[in-house]
Amino acid sequence: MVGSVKKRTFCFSTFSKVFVCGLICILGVAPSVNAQEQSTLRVLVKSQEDGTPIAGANVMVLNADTGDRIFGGITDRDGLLDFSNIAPRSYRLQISFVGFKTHSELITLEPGETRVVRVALEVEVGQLDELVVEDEREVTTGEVGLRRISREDIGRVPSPVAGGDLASYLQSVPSVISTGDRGGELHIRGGTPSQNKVLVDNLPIIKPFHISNLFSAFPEYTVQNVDLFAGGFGAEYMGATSAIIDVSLRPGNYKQFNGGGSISPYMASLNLEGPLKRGSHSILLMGRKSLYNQSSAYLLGEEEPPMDFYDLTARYSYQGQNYTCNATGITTHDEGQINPSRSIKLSWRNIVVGGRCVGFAESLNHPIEITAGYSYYTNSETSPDRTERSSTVNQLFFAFDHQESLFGVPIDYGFKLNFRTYKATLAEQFTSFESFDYRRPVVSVFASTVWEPNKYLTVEPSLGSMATIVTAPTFEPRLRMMYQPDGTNQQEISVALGRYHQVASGINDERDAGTVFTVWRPDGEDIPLPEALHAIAGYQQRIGNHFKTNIEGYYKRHYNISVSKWTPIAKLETETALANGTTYGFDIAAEYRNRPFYLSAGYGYASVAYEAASGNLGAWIEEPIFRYSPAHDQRHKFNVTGSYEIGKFTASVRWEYGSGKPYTRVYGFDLRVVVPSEYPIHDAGTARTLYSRPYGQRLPVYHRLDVSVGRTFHLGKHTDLKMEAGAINIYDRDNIFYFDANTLERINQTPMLPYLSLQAQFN
Amino acid sequence: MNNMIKIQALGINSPFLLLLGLITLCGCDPRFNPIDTEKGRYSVYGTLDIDKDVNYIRVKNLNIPLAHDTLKTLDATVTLENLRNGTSEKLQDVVFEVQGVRLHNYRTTMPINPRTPYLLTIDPTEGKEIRALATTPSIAQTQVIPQQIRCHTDFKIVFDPVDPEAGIQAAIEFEFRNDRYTLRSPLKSYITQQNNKAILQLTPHLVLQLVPQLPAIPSRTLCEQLTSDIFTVSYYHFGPGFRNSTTSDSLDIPGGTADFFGFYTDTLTIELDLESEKQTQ
Repeated sequence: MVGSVKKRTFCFSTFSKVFVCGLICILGVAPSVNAQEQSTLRVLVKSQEDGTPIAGANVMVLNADTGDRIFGGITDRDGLLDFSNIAPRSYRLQISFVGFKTHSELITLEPGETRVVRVALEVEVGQLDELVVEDEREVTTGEVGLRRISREDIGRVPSPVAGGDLASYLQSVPSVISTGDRGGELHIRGGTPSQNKVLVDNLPIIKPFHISNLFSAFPEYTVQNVDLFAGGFGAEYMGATSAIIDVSLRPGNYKQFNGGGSISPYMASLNLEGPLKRGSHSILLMGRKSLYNQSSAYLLGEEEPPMDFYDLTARYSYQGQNYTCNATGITTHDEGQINPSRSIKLSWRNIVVGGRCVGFAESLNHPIEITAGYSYYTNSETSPDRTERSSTVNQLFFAFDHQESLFGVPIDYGFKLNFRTYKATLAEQFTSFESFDYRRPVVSVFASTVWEPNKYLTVEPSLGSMATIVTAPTFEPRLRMMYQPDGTNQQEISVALGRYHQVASGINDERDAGTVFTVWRPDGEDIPLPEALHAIAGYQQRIGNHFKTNIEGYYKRHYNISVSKWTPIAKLETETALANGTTYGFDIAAEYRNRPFYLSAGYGYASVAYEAASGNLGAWIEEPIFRYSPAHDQRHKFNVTGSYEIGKFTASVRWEYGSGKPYTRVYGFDLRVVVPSEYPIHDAGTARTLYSRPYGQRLPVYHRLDVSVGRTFHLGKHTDLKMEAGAINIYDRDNIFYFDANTLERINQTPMLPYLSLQAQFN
Repeated sequence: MNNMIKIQALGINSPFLLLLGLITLCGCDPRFNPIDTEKGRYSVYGTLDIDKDVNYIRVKNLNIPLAHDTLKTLDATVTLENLRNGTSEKLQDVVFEVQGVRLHNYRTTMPINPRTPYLLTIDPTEGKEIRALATTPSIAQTQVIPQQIRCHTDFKIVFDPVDPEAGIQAAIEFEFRNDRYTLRSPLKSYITQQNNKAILQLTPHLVLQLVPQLPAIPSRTLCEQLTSDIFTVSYYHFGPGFRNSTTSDSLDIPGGTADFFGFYTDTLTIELDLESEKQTQ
């Protein structure tokens, strides 16, 4: 059955049309339905120190008399939280966040009133404790499949530059597998990089990860927080079948200017932020440039394959009484080699520009969010013979997100328009499809709600649909549920289920780790849409104020994955076949936060298996259906991250262990003589490498220890100098990246990478 | 314990620092063998041509990368045995060097008879011997029907016997406007197998139409442009066991990979009757 993969999208076409029509009807009817006798409370939380919004602040709405919790929630990236349809009466509003004084005030809501409460939290001087769980009043933050990553979390992972980086942090997450230390490819719970979607303030960016897997376009300095959905995400996220990385950048300081720069052997950076108009307009600028090519020969003592990259981020933010807006521009560029002897030059570039506004005025029944922008991505591969292959994706997009009440039920809904072009110039490598130029507008809609039948249970159903001019609307129901057995967040059981589609695939030669060149191509015309089903269940337990642990089991079933065809002969050729995949596993994580000590440990078990018709795949095996573990099937991953403050010094350590990933062994180096047209005594024959069973063996285990020690010196009232020394792979282990069957070379990952970084900040 | 004592002496009572010290000792290099020496040891390429007095068979050690394959002699003894009469011959290595790679071709002068199985044995100095079997085909008799062939006459060439599994391959060569042309691959579609017979059936006109390189001229005058009335048909066929495939697995033999076949090739000529056709017109 695998060989004749059905166009599953069309199986639901009738149902999809009904669903989409229903959704449109809901959207049309919704604004007219509003419970006028109820009230709306809208809370906007920002920092008094720099005026920036605080994402993730705990907002508790308490009974004014008894102090019992009635509602709760956490603020979004704009520091905003909306409670609609609440009874008009008096409440005590309590807002808390790590490092800030808890704010408490009494409010009284009139019938039909929409109240916006703007709160500026005051920094608590000398506050050193991490998140303090306030008995039963802590709101839910642990959600299945979701990892909320703070700026502080990113800063804890040792990085060979001043400040942390999201790329380094993500690799410390048990669910995230990288293919090595080069290439910028991240696999999340069995999903390939093209099955993941990266958003930065709602703007899509295809590959923001640099060629060195230690870096991305998201350094600690610019990030506000990141939501990593390893699966089970709601319908507000459409267009990815595996995972979502939703990055929120922080606005520049609204109160005062500050800036600085840093330098390390591997990178230099400059940053500047400050108010254009104090309190309401701000700007943030950051630029980074790698110095790896200049320094590696001196520090590593051997010739390393070249790699060069930079990223630039500019962000303008406006914060008004009734709405906030920001305009963001990001560009990245990467260039280099993965294998020094292959002389294949890889490069990729992202350009993203866009704006996003959120309106929350009293006159609006509910907040409204609008995003518009443009995203450009291109990647190329140049062979020694100067043959260049390239693939480019352009996206012009618009998104609208709103909330309404329908029969007393809050409905969050939205739609997105995305005009995409896919262009590829493939030379001779991709023989199954020639160079192409497609234009594909994509429309997606979604609706979701939150239902809390009691204080123990929260249910979040959502529905989404997506269509292009060549594909019928998809039907993507999703469900997330949280159950707190004792009514507090000390324990939480959560479940997520869902159906996911995407309308484009990225195809690369998965057999060849020496290149990450990816051809992006729309699906749905000749090739059925990729589809996935997710099921995740998790349990989280807090013990005391400092210790948290959780376990999560997951199952993902992928359909219509485009994989490169194989040939028994090692040569550059990529045709595609369709495979189905099954991923299952579990993660266990424990975290202890009690300053000056921080320790987190995580173990992940995963099994990824693909199956495809052997004939379609080109597999040189007897079975009609070939089941195999793809190259990213890492079964075991264990991580420990710790930090300790000793006096004025902060020491950080990260150790990572990963079991071996599958690879295909070579059994023969041959010169094939095509008899009888060639004759052994006259013709040398054609060189070919003969492979054993595809992915039949596993590479050796991988482990690496990174350490750093840093200290900040106050050089004056307005100048700080931070020095950090450390090393990546401190015990200089020869961790294999891959074995190149063409050159018979073992390619190792980065050897010990010592560094000393300096960062100066002025304000 | 010493580490713990030192840590405590420094006033740092942190178990993770001890852990750090322990795992620092783990930077050892793992064993890794990307070459599978179990699956295959040798490749064999060659044909046993019934018509030739000397045949050559290439034998290569698969486990040695090409850049390192500089052995003056192969680490094995190669023999060929006629399984019908039991005679055998230890083959002599004729080394053929290309860009520093030494290729070992084994020469045999053993008479190659039709419908006879021959066993090639590679006996390495270490490990199990490897065998490849080639059975020579029968020498097919040919019959051309009808005898008088005009431009649009549907003619047949019957090859008998031909092993159904191995089939037969043919090419037709002719002279057209003083240039020689050969029709090869498209002919496969016009060969049918009936039990132990192979039949090639088409018309001379169609032969000319199937050659893409012919100059563009009106189809009805194609035969008139032939310089010669002679079609030369060359054909060859393999013995039982031949499979014409390019994937490695289909060529597998226990312990390696092989293209090793019994083989027979011959030619026949067909004289076209174009003059009488002109007169009829």
